Amino acid sequence: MIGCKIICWITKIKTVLIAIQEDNIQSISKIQHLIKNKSLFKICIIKKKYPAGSSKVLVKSLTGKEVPHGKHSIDIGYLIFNVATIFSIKRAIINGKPLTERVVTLMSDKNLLSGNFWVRIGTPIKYFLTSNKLKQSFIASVYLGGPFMGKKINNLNHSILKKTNSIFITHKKEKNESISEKTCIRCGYCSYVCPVNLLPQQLYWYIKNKNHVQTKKHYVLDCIECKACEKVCPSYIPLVKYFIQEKNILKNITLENNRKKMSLIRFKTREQRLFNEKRMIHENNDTFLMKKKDKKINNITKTVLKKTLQDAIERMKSKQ
Amino acid sequence: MNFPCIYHVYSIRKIMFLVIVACLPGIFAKYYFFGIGTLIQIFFSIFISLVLEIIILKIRSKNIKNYLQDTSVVLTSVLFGVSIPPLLPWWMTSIGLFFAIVVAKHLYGGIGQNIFNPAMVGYAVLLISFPVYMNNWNERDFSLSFFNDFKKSAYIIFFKNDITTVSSSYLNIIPDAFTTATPLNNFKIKSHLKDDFFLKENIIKNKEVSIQTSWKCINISFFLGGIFLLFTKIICWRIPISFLSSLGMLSIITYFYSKELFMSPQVHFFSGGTMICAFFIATDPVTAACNNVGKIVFGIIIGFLVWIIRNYSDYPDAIAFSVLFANMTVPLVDYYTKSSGYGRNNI
Repeated sequence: MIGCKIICWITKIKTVLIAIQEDNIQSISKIQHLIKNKSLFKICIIKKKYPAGSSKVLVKSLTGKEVPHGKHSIDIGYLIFNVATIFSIKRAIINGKPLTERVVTLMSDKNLLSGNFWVRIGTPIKYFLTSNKLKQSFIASVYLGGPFMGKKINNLNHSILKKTNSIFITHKKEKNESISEKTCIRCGYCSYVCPVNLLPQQLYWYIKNKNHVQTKKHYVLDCIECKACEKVCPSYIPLVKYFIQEKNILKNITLENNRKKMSLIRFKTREQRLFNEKRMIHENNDTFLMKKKDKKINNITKTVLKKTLQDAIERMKSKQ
Repeated sequence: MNFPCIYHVYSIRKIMFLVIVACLPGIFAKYYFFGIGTLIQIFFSIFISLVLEIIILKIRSKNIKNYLQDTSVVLTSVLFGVSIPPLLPWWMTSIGLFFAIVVAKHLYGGIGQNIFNPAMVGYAVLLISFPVYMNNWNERDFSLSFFNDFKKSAYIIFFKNDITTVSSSYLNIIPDAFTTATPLNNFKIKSHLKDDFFLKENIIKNKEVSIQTSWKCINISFFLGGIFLLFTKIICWRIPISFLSSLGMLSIITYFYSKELFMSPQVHFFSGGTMICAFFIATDPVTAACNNVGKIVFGIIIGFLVWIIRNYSDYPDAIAFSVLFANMTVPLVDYYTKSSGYGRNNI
């Protein structure tokens, strides 16, 4: 609350929207209690659908406007903050404490220990797990991030940074490792699920054919990599892997095109420079200028000829 | 990448299995009205399609286990077996299946890469090559017991294939003609022979009522199966609704214009193969359009073509040809109807 007020004082914002999921009834009631008399804050309740937490989707669901391509949400006029940043702002300015700890949520697939913990930044994950009495022998793999978008960690001495929101633990061995990628049957389930209105099916076929023009036209660069399309695919195709590769390839293509343009411009300026030098050298010589003069003379004769012809034609017409 | 606690809802196998389950009421209705020949045809076509699939996969040197795990071959053979008349000789079904599976599916690249609907390709080949046999819809003789019925139809399918034995063994009224017994065929006959209309009208009437109820029940049962598929969200609702609405609009407008030249919308909806087309054949995911607007356009094209071919051509039932024509136009439709994306000022 106080952190929000600080930001409003800095940037002169008029309203603050607090977005909460449908499920957390306790937090909704508590915040409503706090907000009662103040006109600055409003609560917005969001459905429990993945991915409701990403910035692009949030902006569209709360305000109805879309962030234009290549720009940030501040270009429309909206600032988006996480709760952790605002809390740390408040602690820094009012309490005078630097950022030493943050809240990390622990999720596991067997409903064992899961919850929010205060963790100091820099603790290795081994220590964090053993302090919560989770034996390493039972754990199969650890992911930084949520179940959809998490990245696998191999080394458990990896430390918790200021940007890690959550940790996800799996106990069983992944049985889906044995399931291989199959052919796309064009069912179209991926396009129903995409939050950014893309067509992952068409992108997949164009990527397989290495058709980079069409992938750009179908807006690969807008993909937020939420992996919702992968989860729904009946053929177990790793779509987001292809999209990330394609984005890199498109980046390289634009870099190369820019380089080509720059080299063209450089070549042309060089030619111009050489031509000017030549002219300066031959300024005294008559041959160089004569060529130019010949051109002028030719032009003059042409215009004179034209005029005589036109006069003759007019005379003929007037006679008749 | 894939987490065990969040399972995939549908795999290819499950989708095919659920579609076959949705076909079951229609198959039962067809068996009830047309005899056990339908069931023999279906099982025979499943068997032959598996054999053909294994042979062609070995020729293409692919791993058989991986490719047979998605049971898409069974689905095409079931749809093919449901749409052909029940007493077709065995060598005709095998020819049709050869064209459906080997030519229309594998020679175009395998599952997911074919342009044309394989079941409809097989049906169209048979319809053009053997028109008399394909219009031979014999009713079930309810007096025969189950075992005798089975014996008779198996004998006809596998051993004696002449058209005369087929027609005379079931219909004892007139030995020549009148094995063409769908209401669409009756409409064709009426529109073409306008002179001998009154002579045959009485005979047509007695048969027509029973035939119409049988086709009505079959179509209603396929409709119920299709609604089951819609509720489980396996198929998109856009294709069947656009197809049925375009066909209905055209038939309603022209029916009120003149009742004698055109068929009523009820006849269009509940005879022939409209319901099976709307829910099972046109919504085949590999050959239909991929984005939402494209799907609506696809359905409209199919409805329009079905109406035209049924009214102005010599073929009584036009599902196969209209679906094949619409499959041809799918890449063009996909190219011009794109999604709007995010943040591109596309309204």
